[in-house]
Amino acid sequence: MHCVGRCFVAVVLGVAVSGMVSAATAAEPAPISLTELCIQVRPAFVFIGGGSGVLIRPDGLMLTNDHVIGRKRSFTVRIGDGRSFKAKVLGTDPVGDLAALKLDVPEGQTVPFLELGDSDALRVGDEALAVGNPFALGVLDQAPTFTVGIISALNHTQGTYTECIVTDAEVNPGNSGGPLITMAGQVVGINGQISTRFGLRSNTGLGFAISSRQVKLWLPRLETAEGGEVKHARIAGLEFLKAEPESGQSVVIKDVADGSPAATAGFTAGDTILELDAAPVANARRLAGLLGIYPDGHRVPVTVQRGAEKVSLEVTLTAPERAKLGFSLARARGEDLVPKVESVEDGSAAAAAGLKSGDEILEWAGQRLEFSSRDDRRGFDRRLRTSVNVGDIIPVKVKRAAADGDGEKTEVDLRLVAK
Amino acid sequence: MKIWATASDSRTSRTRLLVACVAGSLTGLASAAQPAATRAVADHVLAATVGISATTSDGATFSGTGSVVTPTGHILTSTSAVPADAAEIKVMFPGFVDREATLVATDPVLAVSLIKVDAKDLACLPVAKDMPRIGSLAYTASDVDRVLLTNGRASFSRGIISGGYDVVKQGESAYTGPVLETTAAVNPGSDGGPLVDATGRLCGVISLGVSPLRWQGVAVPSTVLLEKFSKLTSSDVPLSFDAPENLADDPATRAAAEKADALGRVAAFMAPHIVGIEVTRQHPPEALPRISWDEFLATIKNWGKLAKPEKLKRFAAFANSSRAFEVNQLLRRPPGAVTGLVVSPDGFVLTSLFNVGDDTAFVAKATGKLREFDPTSPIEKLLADPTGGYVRQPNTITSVSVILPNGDRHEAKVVAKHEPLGVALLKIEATDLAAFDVLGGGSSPMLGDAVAVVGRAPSGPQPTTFNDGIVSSPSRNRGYQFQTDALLNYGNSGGPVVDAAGNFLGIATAPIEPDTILGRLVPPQQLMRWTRAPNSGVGMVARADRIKAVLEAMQEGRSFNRIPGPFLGVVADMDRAFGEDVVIGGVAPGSPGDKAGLKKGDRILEFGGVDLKTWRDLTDRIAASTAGDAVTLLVQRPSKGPRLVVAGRDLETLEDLQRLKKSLRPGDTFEGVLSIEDTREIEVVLEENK
Repeated sequence: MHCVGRCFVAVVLGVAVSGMVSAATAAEPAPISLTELCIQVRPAFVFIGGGSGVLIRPDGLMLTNDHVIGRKRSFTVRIGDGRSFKAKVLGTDPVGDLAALKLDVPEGQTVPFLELGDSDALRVGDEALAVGNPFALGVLDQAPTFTVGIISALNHTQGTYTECIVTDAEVNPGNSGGPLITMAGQVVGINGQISTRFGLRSNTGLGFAISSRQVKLWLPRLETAEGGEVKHARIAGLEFLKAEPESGQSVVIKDVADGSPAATAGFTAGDTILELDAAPVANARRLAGLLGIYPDGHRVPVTVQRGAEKVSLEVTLTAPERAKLGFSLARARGEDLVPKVESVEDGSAAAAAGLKSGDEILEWAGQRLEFSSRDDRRGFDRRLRTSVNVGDIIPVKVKRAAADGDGEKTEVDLRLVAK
Repeated sequence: MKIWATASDSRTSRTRLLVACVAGSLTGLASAAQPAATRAVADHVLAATVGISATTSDGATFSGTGSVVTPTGHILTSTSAVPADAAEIKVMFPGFVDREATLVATDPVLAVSLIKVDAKDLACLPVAKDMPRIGSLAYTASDVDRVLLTNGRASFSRGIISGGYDVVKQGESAYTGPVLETTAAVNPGSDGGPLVDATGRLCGVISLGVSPLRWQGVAVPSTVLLEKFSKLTSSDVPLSFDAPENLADDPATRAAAEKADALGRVAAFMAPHIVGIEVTRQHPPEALPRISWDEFLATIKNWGKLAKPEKLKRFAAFANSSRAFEVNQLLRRPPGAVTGLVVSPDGFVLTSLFNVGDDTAFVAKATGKLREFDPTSPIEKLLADPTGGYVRQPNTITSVSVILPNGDRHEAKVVAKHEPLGVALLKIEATDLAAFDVLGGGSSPMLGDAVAVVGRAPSGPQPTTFNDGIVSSPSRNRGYQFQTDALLNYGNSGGPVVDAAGNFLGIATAPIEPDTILGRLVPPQQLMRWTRAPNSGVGMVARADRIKAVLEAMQEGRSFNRIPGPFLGVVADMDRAFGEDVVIGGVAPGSPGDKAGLKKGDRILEFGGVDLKTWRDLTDRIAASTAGDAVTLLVQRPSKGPRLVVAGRDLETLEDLQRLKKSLRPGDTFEGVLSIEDTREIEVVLEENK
């Protein structure tokens, strides 16, 4: 069996509950049958375009996937109780694949909704109900599809979905943007991607949902984004020791850029990151996953191991900002594809790093530079312009003529801090 | 060795399937266990599920999942995760612990490997010495997508044991022989991982072998391993066999077991009525040109090294090609007998229309021979092939035979077809068959209710397969069908669907179907921009009540091509299906709507004086009418541009304007109306949908 791709579940669907699912608010939810649960959540479901959505507030706040709305900013949607509304996009996160919309609910009216639950309280094995519009089956007869499974895994990274929920409830094209619901009627995830195989765009028992925790972190920003995008963020100014990518090796900081948010937060070279926002950081993949759930500007507590002690820090996550390195490369001539520094701007990051005109760049960011073609080389030039962000620490090895000018070239290690 | 529990013989009642209903189980069979119990099983299984990667001395890499089976570090996995010549084996344990392992033994026939890490007191899975029942709860765990790296544990899935049969040699798996089949998730990466029974015992090792008819995950049973893999039972491998006490004595586990027994009885009751159906066509499936993803992949050099955008492009080229789908799915009916249900002692057999459906073969225009396709060629190029392209040719059925439970084979005739239901009725010359009395029982599906599809097992001693699920939507296709998330595939299409109380609910239709949905009102291409696939969890079932209503007519040879009743002949504009708009997306030529002059883009405001808000309102009104009724529709037609009406004249053309100018004198005044839309009354006469 080959896994051939990952596919978005891009017909839209939604679920709603009249008033709110009563079971969701009760302190001790009385057990209700699956039939009752389906009937209760149905009104809060939303049919939107080729996918699904869910209402989460009586004033018409609705969630779906970014890939369901695409570039459109206004929609006509139908909710699970049969009513039709205009809806406009409040804000989107194209990376996290989340979008918030607001239904144009007339003054004095409300819409059924489901409460956002606590995805952190989920355990593997818990029951999960997916509501959706697979294959656009329910558009005309206004009846969404209900499928049942369990929570298969948590904190999973799947492409740009990070810390996501894995479920074996059947999710198919069209379920995108629809809710993953607990037996207490609470939304704990927004279904969005599935694993496919045999080249078929259909369920194989692996559905990926954006956690309600992530939704809650983004919602205040999405609601005020005025139809625009909210950006993802990272800890600017950290360089990590290289770890085996497919292993459980812990995350050790090699270097911290002066004046960066990381330096301001108090990170120090040699620190091992233990926890981020109380979640254990076992390896680089988990760290990247955890950072994926916060919007730009969020402050998160971090615990690091420094020598024998554990130190608590707090850092502001910032969206990557394109850096200007301040040097230019000579055009590649003939067979010679080695990048040679042509000029260095005064006061630039390159000047501060000690890069000099005439330097031949041998290694960049720990990577030996070897180009097989001019295209290959042009790719590197492009990378310098487009993929370096403020705060990145880039170890550079250059070859330069000795100062005394005797023609002997020496290799020099530099530390370039992008700004 | 007898490894399958035999279904008990049951001939007591032919009219109803009533079996003991387990109280309190309102969700699916698999949901019978309470969350706490499932959590406990998950914790137990995931503590002993590991991710494995292996490298051979020539640098080939392998990966998969394994189960720890002894506290001292023995791990069972498959040869596809750890081949016999593995030089370096790495194991990732739960909690982000990496360990090196050594190979203890492999068995190429069973396709399993036993490896060992140096450890003690590890959490491990006991091994089941007996076979689980068909229908009983089962779980799988796997390091799919390296989930252990972020989650610290493998991915866990719940399902049932859906079948037990023999698999034959296939491309990717060396294993042939008896397997346990499960509805729990099995994906790439699951290979070598555990199949666990309701009480937390390892009852199988996930294998790449599948039945082409079923497309479901299978495992090599632990009973087979214990008998044939001698290294596993040697004295230095201290296996345990007893279920953990907290799981063995759990009331929820017992309730699930009871429910499994109840469903097992349903399966056993159904078994004597389940027949195999073999259909041969002019062009047998194995001779048909096909494009499979695997074959396509083989044509792409260095797939593993391609950048993601390029991969996506290549994948899209394959997957988005509608004909690739057709070739892949419609033409790729796997060989083997499909499922039917005997409904009369004298030889009427119900099955899905899909099973005896008309297929299309693609033949070369010039030669008329089966067309070979170059899978790397883009669809546009195929269509514009200068050598003449292809033509579609019906792949006609040359024979249909029915295989009775006792193995007897009878030639069958297709007596009648019912398109909206998606069923067909066959007839064989026979007497005194064990018939299931469709007319005598039956029940209506309720949203969320537990259901199960009974299919004919591909081979082996278990006669039936059993896939459970819930009612996902109680009514589709104007009430002719209901929808279930039970896995429907080539194998069980045509099989009966029952509920936990043993009521007959209907006949499973197609694993794929460009179906009729709303009859002639909605063409499939508009509603179905996606093709449903086997085991997608979106499956349609012909409803028992509708079958009962037409069975006698079908026995008399009457076929139903359309939903009976009045017919207008318009389809919805799907882009505007969400608003309070009833906008026509297309009009069938020659239909009553066409004759009355309805046009694409028309908005129907009223039907016989009744306001319409949604397309469903329209279909409901049509359904409530009678063929022959003359109905007045209030229709709003969008004009091409603003429509100017001056002094009672409609100025549509330049000539109209010039004529107006000629008629005017200095000092004339007049009033005009600028209208953008045009509302008119249109009378249609509904016709019978034939």
